[in-house]
Amino acid sequence: MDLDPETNTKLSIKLFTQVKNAKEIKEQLIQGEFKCSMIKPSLILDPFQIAVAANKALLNEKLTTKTVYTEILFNLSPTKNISKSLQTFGIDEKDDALLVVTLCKDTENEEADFLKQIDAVEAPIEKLSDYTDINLIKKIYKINDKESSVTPILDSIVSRIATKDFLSL
Amino acid sequence: MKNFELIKQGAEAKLYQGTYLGKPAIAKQRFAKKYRHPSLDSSLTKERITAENRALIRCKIAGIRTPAVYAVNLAENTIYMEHVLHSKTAKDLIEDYSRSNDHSRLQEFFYHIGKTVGKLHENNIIHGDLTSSNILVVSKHNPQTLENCNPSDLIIVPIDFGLSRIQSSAEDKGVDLYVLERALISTHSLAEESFEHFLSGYQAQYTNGSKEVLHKYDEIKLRGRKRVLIGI
Repeated sequence: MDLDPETNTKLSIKLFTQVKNAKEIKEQLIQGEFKCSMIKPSLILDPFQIAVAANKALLNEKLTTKTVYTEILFNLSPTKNISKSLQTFGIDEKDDALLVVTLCKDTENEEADFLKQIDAVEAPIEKLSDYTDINLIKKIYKINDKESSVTPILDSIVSRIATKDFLSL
Repeated sequence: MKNFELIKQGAEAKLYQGTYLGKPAIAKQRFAKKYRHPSLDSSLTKERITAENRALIRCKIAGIRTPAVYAVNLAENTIYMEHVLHSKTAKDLIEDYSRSNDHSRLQEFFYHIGKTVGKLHENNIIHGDLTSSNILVVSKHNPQTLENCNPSDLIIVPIDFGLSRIQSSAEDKGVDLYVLERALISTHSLAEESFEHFLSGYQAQYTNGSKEVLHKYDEIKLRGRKRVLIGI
């Protein structure tokens, strides 16, 4: 998927299920060996949610976190607490499904080698909805029924992500 | 801004229409005003972008539909937001009803606008520039078309929150009502007789506090929106 044309960047999101080695993957991720974000699928309603967070990470002149990949996790989260954001949206040792998000410049075509190290089954992204926990999402983004009865939840989520810097919640 | 086409030029911003991250979108770009000092200009612009974003989210939380925000580019002073499809401005709808002399729908529509503005004020959101062009309507049930829609089947979507602020004072709410009343009366010939329906919708929604606001509003009508500063 293409992001803002100004960024010349493409976004790729892959869903892995039946993950058996989440613990090792997480360790390597923390050591910076994987150039990607790994996200809990339960908190993602639609790939567009990640697109808005990634796009924001690329448009911002300076990042709040260390890398663009942690920035995506931070942007997804409604809180301004970095470690809490990474904990909430990042993967757990016991997770058996995860989303891998990579960015690449339009000109490059880099096949991410490290994906082979994930002991899992790749599933089509359409299967994401099987893993989405809508009630948890509503709780984390503080979306009440008054709001969700008029506004589609995806709209509520992406609006909060895009305007995070301006909100004093 | 690639693949965006200019659709409207206002006093504060240019509106472009296009596709952003794969969705139909509007890009609202605030441009620099050459007659203002550059640092004042940039701080006002930032302030308005902030106000707009805050109000859009606050409205959603309050159960008022507003366009979704897709991105904010502070380097370009641009907000990318949802293009609300199959919508019409309240201005055009009021004209449709007026042209067909449909007084009962017109009055009902005014009532519903009143309820939405009541909801804004109940949540202390002052719009700051309420006009019939800054209110969109979409259909609740059949999103494709607005033909033959009853006012009760419409969702009212206020837009353009660049001058908005969060304020609980009855004075500011009263001015908001007064600005809308003046705008409606000067735009629509049948607005004057229907405005009471707006006010009853407003009161029906905003049960706790509208009395005080309407009292202020009567005061403001007599003096205009600027406060008299001498000897109060």
